[in-house]
Amino acid sequence: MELAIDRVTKRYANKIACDRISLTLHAGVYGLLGANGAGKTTLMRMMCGVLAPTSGTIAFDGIDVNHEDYRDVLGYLPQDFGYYPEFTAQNFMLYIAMLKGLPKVRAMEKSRELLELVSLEKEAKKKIKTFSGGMKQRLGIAQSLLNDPKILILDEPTAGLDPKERVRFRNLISRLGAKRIVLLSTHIVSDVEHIADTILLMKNGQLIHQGTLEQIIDTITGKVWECSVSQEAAEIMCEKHPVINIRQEGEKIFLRLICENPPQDDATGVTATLEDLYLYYFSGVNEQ
Amino acid sequence: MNSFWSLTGFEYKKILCRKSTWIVFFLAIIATVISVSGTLLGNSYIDGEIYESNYEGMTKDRSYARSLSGQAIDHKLIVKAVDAYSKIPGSDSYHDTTEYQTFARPYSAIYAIVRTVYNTESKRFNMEDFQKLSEEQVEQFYALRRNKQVQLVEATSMSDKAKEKVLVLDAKIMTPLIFSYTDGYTRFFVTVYTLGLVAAFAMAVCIAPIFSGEYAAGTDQLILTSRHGKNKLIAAKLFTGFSLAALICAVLTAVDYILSLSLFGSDGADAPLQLYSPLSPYPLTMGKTALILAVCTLFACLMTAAITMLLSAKFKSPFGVIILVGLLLIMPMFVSISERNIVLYNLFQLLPTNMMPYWTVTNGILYELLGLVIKPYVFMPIFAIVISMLLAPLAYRSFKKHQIG
Repeated sequence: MELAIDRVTKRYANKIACDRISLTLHAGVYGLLGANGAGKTTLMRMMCGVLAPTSGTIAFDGIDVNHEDYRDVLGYLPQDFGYYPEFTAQNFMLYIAMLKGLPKVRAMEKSRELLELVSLEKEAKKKIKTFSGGMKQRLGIAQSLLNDPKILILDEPTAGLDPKERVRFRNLISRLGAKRIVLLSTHIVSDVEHIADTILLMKNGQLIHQGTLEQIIDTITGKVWECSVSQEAAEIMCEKHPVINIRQEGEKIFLRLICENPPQDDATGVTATLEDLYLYYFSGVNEQ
Repeated sequence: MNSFWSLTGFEYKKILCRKSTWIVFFLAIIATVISVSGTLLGNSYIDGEIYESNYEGMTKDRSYARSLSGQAIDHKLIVKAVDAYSKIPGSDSYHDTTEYQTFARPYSAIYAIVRTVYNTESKRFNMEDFQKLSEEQVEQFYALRRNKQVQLVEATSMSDKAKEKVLVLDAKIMTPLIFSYTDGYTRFFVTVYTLGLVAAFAMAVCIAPIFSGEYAAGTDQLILTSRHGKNKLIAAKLFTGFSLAALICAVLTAVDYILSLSLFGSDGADAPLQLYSPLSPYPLTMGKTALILAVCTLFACLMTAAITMLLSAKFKSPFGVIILVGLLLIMPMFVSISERNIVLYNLFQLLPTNMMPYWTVTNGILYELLGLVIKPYVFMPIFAIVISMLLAPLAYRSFKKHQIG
């Protein structure tokens, strides 16, 4: 099982959304991290065959992304997508199951099973227009699993889910990743931290890091510091170093920041986290 | 194949779930009913007093016409009509006179047929002319009709072959014409145009979102990443669009036809078309003409459906599609093309709006293509089929190649 992305580029008139991205994915969970506009959604859309790359190829076990057989093994949860408000959840699932080529009986069984999995079995006969955002998101997750996909691409899957649902979803993804390629993008760093076997970091259309959590964090290991400083010193440090966290503590300012050497003598070196790395790379981007 | 029908079922479900579908369909039925029965509403007045209701007038005219049904429109009948009309004293509004109501009105259907033949380019044949119609002129009625037909055909810029064909067709018309009451059919001929436009617009509103609705709602991403989303589903959508267009058109045509015949009378299916259009060159009966009009309207609707679906696949919003299709249906009503430029004239008649009216479908200007001379009511449906077959794959391809982003 191999999903090969070879020098994939997506160029618009005045912007390169994805720049020569090459990746080989095998069974497992991949977490795609990046700020808004980093190119995550563009890459995912190209991997789903709904956006043609300017150059490069995408193939699963030699099957081109544009082939029906590729779509047959694909499950996709887009970031922003619509429903048919007048459809019931059950009808919606049956419709998607038909689109995915499931026979009618199997479609009924699978729909019931997945609605149960996402705790929507009691709402199966209710119209989608009555659903909350979280319920719609769960329905979206359920539809992506209808064809038991070998490639599961989830764009911001935990958006709109409450903490309990998120934990349930993370566990589900972990299970699914054992037998298939799961690629998920999210802004919620802890989701990736908990479930991704491999983390992919995108910035400005390029893949800047990829590896396990330990490998990724290694970039900033020994460079994360915490200290309490005066207001004036804090302002100077904020200008010189990427600041991960800042808060008022009495008369002092608490800082968590990244720099090569201790920012001051009493600074404490702390264990780096994925969130540190994310903010290290993307806080600047978000400010822009 | 099963999945195709299941997907078609879901496409129908999507359309039928929308309130706009039912509102438009309900309004279309109302418009059809009003267009058929509209002339029966209200009253006719003489000297400011209600003389009779329009419905009473229709039933009276119908009974007069029925009493003449089966009679040949020959010298004898025309003279009878002239005699009856001669009793009317000179008056601008002769309809208001007792003499007209008593003696002439029973022959008003004959007068309506005869006057068309005696009209000339320079003078419109009126009631006074009819009163003065000589025995000799009456005797020459069919010869005059034929001469007029020859003149009309010669005045066109059709090829000699086409002109000859029109005259051959005209020669096949059995004379003398046998009179029959036909108002049920003629009402259908008049209203089928309105119903066709209403059906085409209603259909456009219903199927405009078939592709663009998916883009607008954001469901395109789910569809286009599914196994059948780029093949079977598109075929199912196209089938849904065409079948719904046919269904809407068929239902409205049936309502129009049944209502016309039940309100005005179902007599005259076998009567010659010339009782309605004395100068029509086509040897058709009223029943066949009604069928031809229904078929042409149906294919015009199918062609409109093809155009709507292509625009739907190209546009990101159904509103733009509805507006464009609306303009396509309405604009030709305000444009007139001279018959002298026969190519442009004939092309203009191939717009969906122009494929529906009685006067274009049974127009005496024939189509000429690759040496063949084809009657408009044969050419128009064939053209609609060809265009629909060309546009449907373009819509298919456009949705298949749609890019998200």
